[in-house]
Amino acid sequence: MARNKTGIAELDEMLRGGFMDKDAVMIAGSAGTGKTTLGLEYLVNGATQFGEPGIYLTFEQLPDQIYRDAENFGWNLRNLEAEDKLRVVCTSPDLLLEPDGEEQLLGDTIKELRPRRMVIDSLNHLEMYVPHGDIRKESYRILMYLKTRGISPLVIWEAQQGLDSYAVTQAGMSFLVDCMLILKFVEIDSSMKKALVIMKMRGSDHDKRLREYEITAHGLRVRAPFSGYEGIITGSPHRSLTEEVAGAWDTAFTKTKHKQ
Amino acid sequence: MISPNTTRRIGVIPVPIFVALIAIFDVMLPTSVAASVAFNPLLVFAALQTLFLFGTSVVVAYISLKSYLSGGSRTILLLGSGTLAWGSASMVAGWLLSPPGGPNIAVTISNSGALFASLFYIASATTTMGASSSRDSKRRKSKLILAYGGAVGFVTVLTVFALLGATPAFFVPGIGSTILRQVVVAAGIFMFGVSSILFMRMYHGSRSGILFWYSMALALTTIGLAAFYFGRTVGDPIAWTGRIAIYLGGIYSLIAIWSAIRGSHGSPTGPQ
Repeated sequence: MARNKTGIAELDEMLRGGFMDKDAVMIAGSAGTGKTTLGLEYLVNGATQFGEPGIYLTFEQLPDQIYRDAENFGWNLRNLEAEDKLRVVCTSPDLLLEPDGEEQLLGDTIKELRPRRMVIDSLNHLEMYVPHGDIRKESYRILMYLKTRGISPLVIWEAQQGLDSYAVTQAGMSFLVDCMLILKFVEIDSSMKKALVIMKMRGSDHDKRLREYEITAHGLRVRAPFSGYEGIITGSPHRSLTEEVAGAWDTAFTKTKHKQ
Repeated sequence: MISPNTTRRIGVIPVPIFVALIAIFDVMLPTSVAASVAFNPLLVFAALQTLFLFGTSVVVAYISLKSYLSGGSRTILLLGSGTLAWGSASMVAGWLLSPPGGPNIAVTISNSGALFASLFYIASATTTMGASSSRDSKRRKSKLILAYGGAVGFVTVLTVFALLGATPAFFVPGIGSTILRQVVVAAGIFMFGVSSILFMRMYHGSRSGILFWYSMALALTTIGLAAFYFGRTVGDPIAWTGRIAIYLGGIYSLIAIWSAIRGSHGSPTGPQ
């Protein structure tokens, strides 16, 4: 089965090789968790490492902001656009929602670029322009449009911090996508860390563990799982009893020795 | 509510009691006793060895494993390995007390296992390498597999060799202990005893209940092993006094774990 590698080695390992080709993927998380960074990295790596051109469709940022932010990670989007490996499309959601809007907005770019990947940042903006309850229908229409053109869509969804995947499910968005990644902040040992988990991945095995990640100068990097902690998803992480006891055991035998 | 200090004072009481019992039996029993004096219910003995020595060693080894993987302390790694070696050897010896070759096989495994384990304990108590001696988690796992695997592997190889008759004699029925056994047990007793003293010294610096109970567990094991020098035959009253001291040592090591549980939850009650 063909896979779309993200180019982030640890994440691809979690995904057992990458996202399934043509699958709709959702990255959900609160503000500041790095959703846009992950989306951009997916496109940049696709274009530079795997020969897969991509489109970045944004409703919330102006192109100059995006170029500038990307440069901070060492990604020169202008060069990629000049090489026909990437397009940054900044538009208003209402244009996309018009009848046949996706064709008018993206049709020419798709024919010209033949993209394999596309990031939509974010679905929350669409929600502001459609009547209550229609967001799922509109999202479905856009996703199907992209899939039928051989594009693997990745959509970004901003969820409230403190809420778990249930919040995304409750919004009725999770069934639209084949794969869902949750990014969230967690407080562990009095410091704020970022956690990533793959909540679902249709038709494929995947890493079920919650992994720490960091936004580095080169993009998102996935670290080790949060082993020994419970309650991270619910927002009240604490070490498991075994880990607590092991910690006390270590303190008694090791720290005492050092004091002497 | 009993204070931790009171509980610890109570915890010390069995030490003089066991010493006194061994001394009394030594005076009471004739130099040579009939085999009928020996009490060796094989299944009961095997079950006791498994429960009090192997069972407790698995718990301690598991906590040490988790502790080593997160903290990387060599002290903990050696402690866990020694406990595992001691528990495994004791259990195997318990189930092999009455094979066709007589008690020599069980005695060989038990005493050699004790010496092997005591090497880990003394190394644990004296090592100067503290926390984070191995920062890389993959290397920690490798070292853990090597140490725990080595402990269990040694007992396995020892058992196979003893069953094949490839080990020197430790106990000759009708004659008694060999010089080799006396040397091996003496070395084991010395190292268990010194380890106990060193951990007790650490306890006086920290007042940690974990160290107190673990040190006492080693002290009781030392007394139990020392009882062998006074016993007339396998399964006589002195041997059983020693065995019970060692079983109590197993319970004390669990109390050390219990202290860690209470301590990790900040409870002031219990045998800390």
